Amino acid sequence: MFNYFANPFRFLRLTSKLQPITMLVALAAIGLGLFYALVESPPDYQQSETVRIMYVHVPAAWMAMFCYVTIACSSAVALIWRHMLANIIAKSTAPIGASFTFLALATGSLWGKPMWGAWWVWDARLTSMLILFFLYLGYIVLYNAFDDQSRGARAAAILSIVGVINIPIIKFSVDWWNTLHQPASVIKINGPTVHPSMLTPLMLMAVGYMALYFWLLFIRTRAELNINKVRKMLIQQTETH
Amino acid sequence: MLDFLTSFMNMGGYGYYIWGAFGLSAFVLITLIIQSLKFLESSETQLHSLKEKEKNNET
Amino acid sequence: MPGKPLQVFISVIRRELLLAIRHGADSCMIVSFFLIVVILFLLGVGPEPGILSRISAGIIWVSALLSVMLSMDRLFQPDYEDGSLDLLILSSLPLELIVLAKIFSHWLTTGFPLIIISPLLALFLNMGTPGYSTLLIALVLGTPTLSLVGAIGAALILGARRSGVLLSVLILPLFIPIMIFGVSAVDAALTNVSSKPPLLMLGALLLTALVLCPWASAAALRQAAE
Repeated sequence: MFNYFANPFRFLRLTSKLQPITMLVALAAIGLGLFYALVESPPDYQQSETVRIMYVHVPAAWMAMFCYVTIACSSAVALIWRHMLANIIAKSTAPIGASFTFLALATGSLWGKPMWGAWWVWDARLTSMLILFFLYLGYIVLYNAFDDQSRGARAAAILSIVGVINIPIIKFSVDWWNTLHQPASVIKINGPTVHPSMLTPLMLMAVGYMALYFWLLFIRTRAELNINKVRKMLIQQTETH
Repeated sequence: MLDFLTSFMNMGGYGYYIWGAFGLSAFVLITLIIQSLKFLESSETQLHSLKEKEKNNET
Repeated sequence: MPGKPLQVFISVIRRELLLAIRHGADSCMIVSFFLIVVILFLLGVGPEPGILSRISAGIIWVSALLSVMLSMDRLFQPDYEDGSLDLLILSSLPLELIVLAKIFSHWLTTGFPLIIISPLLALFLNMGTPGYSTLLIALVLGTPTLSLVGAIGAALILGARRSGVLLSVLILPLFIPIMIFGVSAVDAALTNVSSKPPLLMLGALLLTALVLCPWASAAALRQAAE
């Protein structure tokens, strides 16, 4: 199956079909999620109304890590099998992941001010998340720093694979160190400890963000494939003239 | 109705933080969507104009 | 270059050290840079002894970080430019070990002088006496890690545009954990708390970097030489 969809033409045909579907799923899930998040769900007994920030903060943080792992995996595929499409997926994911990381940091800051009394604290979770943001920026800058596109792609791929070590650090930082940041309450071995009334909007927003990611990914990969075609045609033209 | 709206906007005194977080998320994601769509559009126009040129050259 | 792996390993180190001595100025420049940054901090913060002693560990670590970062771009660049990188890749010794030898000699010529001069700077900065030995141990454990992590960045930027700025963007974020544990070890010693946990973390970081970094830098070098 992997080889089947590695063909750019099949990939394009598949994505053009999936593109409207992911858009509709994203709109519906985020719309419904916002209604539950802002109206239907109760305030937390400890955090009162500010708990509503969770519904945009936590999915953004999940997506930030998911996007990074996606970049690292497709970079590994690109390095081992030299597949152009894997590179394009990694490149297209980077700005989306960077945006989600920025949102996780910014909304976390807006949540931290009323709850902890400070916009920012230097604890393990926040610091490792900030490093993730810098890794995204470094990846994007390195990708574009070479005159030869394929060199940039390979260098950035290696960087992304090295940086993947940061992902378990982010995940477990709240367990390994005593931090202000609260530990995970949804992804746990013995089930989530969050009340269903809060789990519904959280899950809806998470599904919505995921669908949004795929929609954006399909748009951006199509654009990158077009740009690749343009580049090839220009090279052919200069060769024939 | 108006009472409901003001309390909804106020969010128990945390309105600025909550609406700030939701507003910022909306702004960033919508900007990203618009930028991606524009990127796709410009790539398509580039490809089309190049193909047109090639056709003209052949004839 | 025939011979046993160990001989090749040592001969790479010898070549690097010889180059460093012949070009002499490099090591001196790094140490002077380190000194100047610390003095700039001193002048910028002002001569208040209380403040200085409280932030002394941070200043020394930040300056060490910047000095190592600055010296990093010469690690592989000359070999890349004159083509000896291709020879190193073709050598009988695995590229990972050659990279390790190069990193070790880089540390000997940059990290090590910094460690030697750091007690003097701690004196300038009014650091309390219990901090000295911890600072030295932390630097001994931390600066090799800086060189190891920096080598990945140095290998990745070969042939890139504006490589100097790019290098700092890539590796300074990765230096953050090393600096955090280095500073917290000294702070713990100064406040009479056990400095063992952060030092152990520094040791763990060093061992992890020792395993992963030569491998990653070698991969980056191979793709650069293609």
